[in-house]
Amino acid sequence: MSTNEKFVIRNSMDIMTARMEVRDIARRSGMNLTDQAVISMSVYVLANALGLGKHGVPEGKFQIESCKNGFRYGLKVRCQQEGPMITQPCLSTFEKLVDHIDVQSNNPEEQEVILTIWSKS
Amino acid sequence: MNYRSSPLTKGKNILLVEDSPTQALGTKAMLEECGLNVVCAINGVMGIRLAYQMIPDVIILDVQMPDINGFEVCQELKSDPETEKIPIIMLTRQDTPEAFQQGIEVGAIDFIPKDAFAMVVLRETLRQMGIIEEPLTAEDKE
Repeated sequence: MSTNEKFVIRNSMDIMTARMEVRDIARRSGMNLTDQAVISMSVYVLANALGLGKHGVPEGKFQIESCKNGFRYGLKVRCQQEGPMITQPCLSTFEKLVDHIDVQSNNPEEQEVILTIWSKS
Repeated sequence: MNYRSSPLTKGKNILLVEDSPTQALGTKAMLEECGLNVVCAINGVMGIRLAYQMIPDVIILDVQMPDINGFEVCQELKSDPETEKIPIIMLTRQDTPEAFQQGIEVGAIDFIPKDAFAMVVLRETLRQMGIIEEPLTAEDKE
């Protein structure tokens, strides 16, 4: 099943909605309950780490897409935000949660954080 | 009482382990509104005992409790073949990635922060797990 869904986080209700939608995407993609929890919690943790939903913080644009590597399949969470770069301590908190994390930045004002979670089922 | 041999009603059985009476009442009311049968335990020891008696369909487990915490309860139940398959959802104020990771490591299948949306997220998680039946659509009713 191919997935490519987008949503914008502007407030704390958007974080909650995103969390539930991502879990549903993971479920529909065939991921097990633990993977569903990991990916939905990763969105929650990333949104909070970037300060999304807080007053004065720019919105974050999320994109969830399916990915494949040989027989493995998984989901990629991309988050684009205009604002200060995510800090190294913040990034290190994700290292145990997700299989891969990457930060890309075309300019100092904009960054893209990409989390990858492979299905364990 | 042996809950396993005498299910109270047709709905799924939930064991709620929560030491705060106020929070337990609120969560219980929400779950019962969804058609679930809820039994409450007020601490970890009671939670483990009831889990063996009931073998519930899901355990909803608070993390911070005075005697043994939710991580320990989860670890205990996951280490016994009789209870290892019961899905455990943790509810907590500790919404750090480290706490979440710990929850996953001891075998919880979700970790819901106790924020303003906790009940909405819990209900949706139970719906996605098939514990709460989805409302019938007009198409289903025909």
